[in-house]
Parts: sequence; structure tokens; C-alpha cells
Amino acid sequence: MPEDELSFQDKFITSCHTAGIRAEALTPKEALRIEPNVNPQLLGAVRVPDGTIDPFRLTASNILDAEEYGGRLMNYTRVTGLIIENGRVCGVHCMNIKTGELIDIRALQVVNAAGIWGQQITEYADLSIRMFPAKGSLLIVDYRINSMVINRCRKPADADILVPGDTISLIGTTSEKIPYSDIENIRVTPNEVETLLAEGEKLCPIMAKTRVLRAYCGVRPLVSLGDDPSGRNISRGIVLVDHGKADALPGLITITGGKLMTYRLMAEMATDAVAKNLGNTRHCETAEKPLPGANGKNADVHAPQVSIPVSGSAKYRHGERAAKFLSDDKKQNAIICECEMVTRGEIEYAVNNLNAKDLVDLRRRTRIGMGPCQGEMCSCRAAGIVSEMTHADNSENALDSIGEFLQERWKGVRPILWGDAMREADFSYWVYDNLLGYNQLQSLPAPVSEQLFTEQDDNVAVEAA
Amino acid sequence: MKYNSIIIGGGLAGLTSAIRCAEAGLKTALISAGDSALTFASGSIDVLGIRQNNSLVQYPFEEISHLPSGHPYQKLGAGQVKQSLHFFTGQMAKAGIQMSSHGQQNHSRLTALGAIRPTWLSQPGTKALSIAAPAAGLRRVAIINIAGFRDFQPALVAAGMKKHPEFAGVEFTVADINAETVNINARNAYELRSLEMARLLKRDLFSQPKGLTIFASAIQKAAGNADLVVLPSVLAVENGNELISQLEAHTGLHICELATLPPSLPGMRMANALRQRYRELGGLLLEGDEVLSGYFDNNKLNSIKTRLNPSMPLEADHFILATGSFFSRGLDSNQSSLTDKTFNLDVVEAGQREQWSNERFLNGHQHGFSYFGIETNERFNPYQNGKAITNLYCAGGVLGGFNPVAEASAGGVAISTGWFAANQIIAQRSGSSGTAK
Repeated sequence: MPEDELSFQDKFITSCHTAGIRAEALTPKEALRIEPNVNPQLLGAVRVPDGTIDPFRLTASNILDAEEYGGRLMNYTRVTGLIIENGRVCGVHCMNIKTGELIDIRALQVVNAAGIWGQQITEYADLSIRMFPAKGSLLIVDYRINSMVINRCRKPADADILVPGDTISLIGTTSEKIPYSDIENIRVTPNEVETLLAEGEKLCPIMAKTRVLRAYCGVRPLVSLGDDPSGRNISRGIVLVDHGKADALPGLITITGGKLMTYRLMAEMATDAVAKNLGNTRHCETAEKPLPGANGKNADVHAPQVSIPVSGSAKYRHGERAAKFLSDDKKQNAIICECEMVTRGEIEYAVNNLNAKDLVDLRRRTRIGMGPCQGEMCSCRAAGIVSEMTHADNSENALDSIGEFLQERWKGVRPILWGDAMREADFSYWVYDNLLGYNQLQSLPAPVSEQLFTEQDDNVAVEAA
Repeated sequence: MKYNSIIIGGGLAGLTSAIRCAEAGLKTALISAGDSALTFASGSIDVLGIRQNNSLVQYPFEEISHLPSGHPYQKLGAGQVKQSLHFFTGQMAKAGIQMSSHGQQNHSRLTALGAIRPTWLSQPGTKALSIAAPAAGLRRVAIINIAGFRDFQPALVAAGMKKHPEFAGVEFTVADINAETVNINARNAYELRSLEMARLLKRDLFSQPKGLTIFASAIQKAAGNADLVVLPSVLAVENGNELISQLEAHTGLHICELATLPPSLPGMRMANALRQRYRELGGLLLEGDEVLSGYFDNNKLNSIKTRLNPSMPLEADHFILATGSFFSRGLDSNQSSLTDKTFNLDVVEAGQREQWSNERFLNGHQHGFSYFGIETNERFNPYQNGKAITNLYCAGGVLGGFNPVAEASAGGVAISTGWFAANQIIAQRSGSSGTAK
């Protein structure tokens, strides 16, 4: 961009080459041909082999893989303490945050891979891994306005990356140091929204005319080294601590730092450390074996009754596993979420095979409710299916999960509530509160995440229990 | 072309005022951009049903005096609100739909999630439950879906009803009438919307000589000896109320239809009836057109330009703006402010964006945006740059100062303000024509 230094481009290319990354300078004309929505005022461009992944699919595939190898996922289970016996970590104390049930899990080795919460886990053993919480906010815009990742060619700063993902594009991120005590209550501020929009428009001016679907934020689990107020200059390096060696507390390993880019390597490093402690010398094969759904690009999913957009979306989300639910059954093929082309069959598959117990889970496995309407129709439809599948005694939960689901959507809409987002919200409010009278049903309990950390509120605690 | 009155907006407020004007012999034009909020309304008319503390209102007209002073009802007073609703009920009857009420009291309507919501006027097919004892006389309720219809979830209706302590002793049956029984021939019967289902049922089932009997016996089989049979409103748009009563006669059962996820057939039925009534009265309906701009002079609106006829401005003595709220595009917003999309009239003070809404989406607390709208004087004249526009009136959802959803007052405010605006035009006209002659 004109406001960035062109000299940075040469430095960037040289550094890429030093690191063994292909980097090719493009003329503005070439860049515009590849990405027509890019700001025509650009001074130059560099093409690098960047890429994107679908974090939802990646997570679901990892869980599925672990389960197929005999692992067990205990979702909605919070670690409340470490079981320490004779100077050794022997497991964890847990609570099911939906039912309040207390559970102890014993293990020969405990791996602390709790991200930003990793500090709390080590504090249970009076150890100290000091995390540096840096909040980052992002905006999701309706439609894919770019086909490949577009970055500002400058030192990392706010809103310098526009990432395409499935049906949307997203602009990010901001970076702001926050106190550790605030990690549960982060939200996107109006200032951040303004910054993201203003900077985003510099990358792709079309953003000014594109509807913003929602805003969200997360916390980077950086390990604190030095005193950088933004957190930008902290290394994203991997930190592996075997507390047996470092703190004379065997049985506990912490893996933290890193980025999604290195997540698999981090897992391998942690697993190797566990294996070593257990006397297992087999080498890790994960890097060589595809995840479920990624087996064979050519494994065709045959579903002649399903239209190509529907089968294409299913394959995009589940790879060859889509064959487990794409069929010639009309009822199974009925589209439940029209924005994201989710069929009844896919919902049933997610409930039966991917641990989706309610609508909030279901969204992460299938993308229901993630399109322009943010769940207006599909939340009721999907709740009806979940209730049907999990028998009549679950209908009340299914009904309640509509409110929880819409609240979770609302959290992302509220920071960008104007224009078309306002229209959509107004419409949803009319449908759910006026037409359907949802508020008359109950005063809804606070969502899980809020219940847990407001222990001073007796009513909430009772509901959680 | 010059009219006595031009009404902008074809929803409940616009149609009510247009009918009132046309009935009084005014040369009236109604400009409607497309489907209105009636497309996702319940088909009942709420007057005032819920207090700020979330308690239900039993006597809506008595409650009006407790409302804050800026509320549209406060400008009208309970007497005029009642009169307008009386007018509306009469017009609906003339259009073939006999709306029923429980006198001065609200009643309850059942929703497609099993909630009960207070309302004041209902269509015959939507059974009115007592507001104080909604479960009175009900021991067995059968909730029946048709052909796996996506936009109605019987199990959730039952779950919702069970949340009310009054329904604790009620036994629920949930059943499906399959696609083969209703004989519909669709590409995928499980993907139909309510309107498509109604069209196919009309074509494939109810046009058959035995269609009604086939359907009636399917209901009997599914419902058993239920005291109340609940169906999604998918059977018919136009004559839905008659069809329900025929089915009741055939089955001997008590049948209630519920507005489904949008589109809502009872709401569309009401819109169709009102449009038909307006046309019968000689009113001109300009459908699919939109107002682009207005020509104001000396605190009066003289003419408007529309999208379909940009070169031929429409003139009128009086105008009514009934363009609805945000979803109807009557109001618009940007990052920091609100606007009336049509004429850029003065809107209520909105404050910081963070105050426009509540942190919880559906918790019974009010959302500021629902309260937003155009500011008016006692006669419902809006202001432009602080000056009242004396021949322009605002009605319905575009008005500020009330919360149609949270207080359950949308229909009543639309009807009463539309009726009031029309009455003022009529009164001024008879006054001025009297003096002119």
C-alpha cells in the first residue's frame, strides 16, 4: 500500500528465501489479475505459498481420529484440580459443566494442553507457566471477496490479513494485551470494529460495501518472555515442559506456545515425551497418516439424488466420510440449513458420530447457522431433529438449546449491529419473540460459559448443578 | 396524478389507513414495496400483552394509562384504540374473516414452540386459550405434523407447553401424517415451505372429491381421543379458517392451527383479505414500487417520486408513512446513527451503538433498536430538522417510542395509528371542502 514502505518488500523476499520459502515479486497488474478485489492503489505484491485450513473440520477430524484409535472425548468437562499423590500427578479432578457431576480421571501421564488456561492448570500444582494473554479480534464478511490469503506487506500490525474461508472472508486481527483475569470475559470493542473495517478497506475496498456478518475474538496463548505491550514480538515458539524434570513433579507435561501451523508437531513432541516416560519407543506416525475424511482425494461419494452444491459442501466438510450420510433417501437429503447446505443426513451423522449433543456443537461440526441468516430457520429445524433422535425426554433440552444457540450467534452480531445485520437481527427478534414467543417459555439459564465463572451468584450455581 | 391521500407501506398500518380513507370516499393510493411483516406475523392481533416486568396483561385497555408518555397509545387514549380495533374487526369481517376476542380481556395463543403469548383478536382457526387458565378443559393434546414438514417441530411444541405449570397434567401425543396419505407429489416433500405445502395440498389432495375425508380420517387416526388437535398452518392460505372448521365437523375434534416458521399463512391470509377489501372499496394499490424521494415545501410534503415512475411524481393533499421498522426497510442504520430511509425525518435519539441492544438476545429485557423510530407530535406528524410536516402522518412500526415485540403491541399500534392518521385526513378534508363550498 502507498502508506507502507516499499523497501520492506525486498527485505521480505530475502527473508523468505533465507527461510526456504518461495517468494515471487508481482507487478500490481499481475496481482490485480489474480485477485481483482485487491486495492488498485497497490505499489507491488509478493506471491508466497500461503494457504488456509478449516479449523472446524480440522478439530472434528482430530477428535474423530483419536476416538477411532480408542481415545475418549469428554466435552464440557472442566479440570478443577490435579490429583497429586506421593509427589506425582496421577490424574485430574473434573466437573461436567452441564450436569455439575464431579469426576476423577486417573492416568499415568497428564498432558496440559489447555492453551491460555494452561497457566491455571499448572497453578493447581503451585507451578508457574506465565501466560501472556493477547486478545485478537476478527470480522467475518459475507461472501468470499478473495480467493487466496491477502496480507499487507509490512511488519505485523492490526487488520493486515484477509483470509478466505468456505463461504466467507475474514479480516483480522487486532492484538491487545489483556489481564489474565479477563480471559473469560473478552469481547470485541467498537474501536476494534472500526480499525478492522478501516484497515480492511485498504486491502480490498469492496469491504466497505460488503455486509459484515459477525465479529469474534480469541486469546492467543503466548508464553510470557520479556515485556512487549502488544504481544506482537513474542515468539510463537513451542514450549514443552516435562514437569518431572523441570519441577520434580512427575506425571505432568505442559505443551504450549506455538501456532495452529505447528499444532501437529506440538502434539508429536508432547506425545513423544509421554511415550518416553512410559517406556514406549514406537515412533510417531501421525505425520504420515491422513486424518479421517482426508483419505484419498479420488474417493468419490456417490449421491445421484443430491445436487452438486449440497454434495460439494458435504464433501468439503467431511471428505470421504460424507458417504456415511449422503444417500438417496429424500428425508435424509432435505436441506435444513439453506445458507450452508446442511442436510438432515449430515445432522444425524454429526449427532451419531461426531459427539454433537446440542445445536452449539452441531454448528461446529456442520456449519449450521453460520451463514447470512445466522440460524433463523435452521435452529428450530435442527432442534426438532436432535429432539427426535435423542428421544422425547430430551425435547426440553433441545428447546433450550435454541436460545443458547441464538445467544451464541448474537454475541458475534452485536458488535456489528447496523445496516443489514440490524435488519436481520430485527427480523430474528420478531420471529423468535413475537411469532414464536420464545421468551415466554422461560427465563433462560445463563449459558454454560457464564454459569461456571460466576460462583458468587447462587441462582446461577443452582441452575448449573 | 393527484390523490387525496397516498399511503406508503402495505403492511397492517398502511392497509388499515388505506381502507379507512377509501371507505370515506377519498381518492387513495397505496404504495407497497413487497410482502410486509404480516408474512411472518401470527395472524392474531396483539394490543398490549406484556408489562416491563414480563408479567402478562389481562386487560389491555386498562393498561394503556400506565404506559410512558411518548408511547403511541398515550397519544390516542384507550377509547380511540378500542374504536380503531372495532373498525378493523368490521373490515376483516367484510373481507370474510370473523376475528374473535374475549371482550375486554386478552386471551392466549399457542406458538409453534409451545409458548403461550397474550393477544386480543384471533382468527377462528387459531383457538383462543383463556389467559388465566390456558389449559382449562385440556387433558389430552395431539400435535400432528404433515408429511415431515421441516418448519414445524411437534416435539418442541409439546416440550414448550410442558414448561407451563398449567399443562403439567396434560398428556401429549406427537404424530406425523405421512406424505403418501396426503398424496402430495413434490420433488422432495421434506423441503417444502408452508406456502408450497398449501399449494400442493390444494392441487393434490383437497381438489379430490374425497380429499377432505381422507385427511379427516388421517387426523382421527393420529389424534385418537385428544381434546385438542394442533396442526401447523400449512393447509390453505385463502380459506384456511373454513377448512379448519370443515375438518372439525368431519372429525368431531377440536382443531387449532399454529403459524409456522415464516412464511406464516395466517398472517398472509390477513394481508390478502385486507388488500382485497381495499380494492373493493376502489383504492389504488401500487405493488412492487418504492418511494425514492419526496418534495417538501413550507413544512408540507407535496409529491413523491417512485422507482417505477421516476419521471411522474405522485401528488397528494395528505400522506401517511407506514413503512415499518428495520426489517421492512422503513428504518435504516449505519455505524453511528439511525435514519428514516424514505424522507430522512427526525428519529428518536439513539445514543451510542452499544446501547442499541441488550447483551442477551432473548431474555425479556428490551432491545433499544426495537424502540427506535420516527418522532412525532400528538397528531403523529413527523419532524424534519425540527419542524413538523403537517400533511404527513406516521403509523405502525416506523414510529418510535414503543416496543412492539417486548410489550406485545405491534398489531394494535399499527391498526390504531393507521386508523387515527386516516381519520385526521378525513376530518380535515370534510372541514376544508366545507369551507371551500
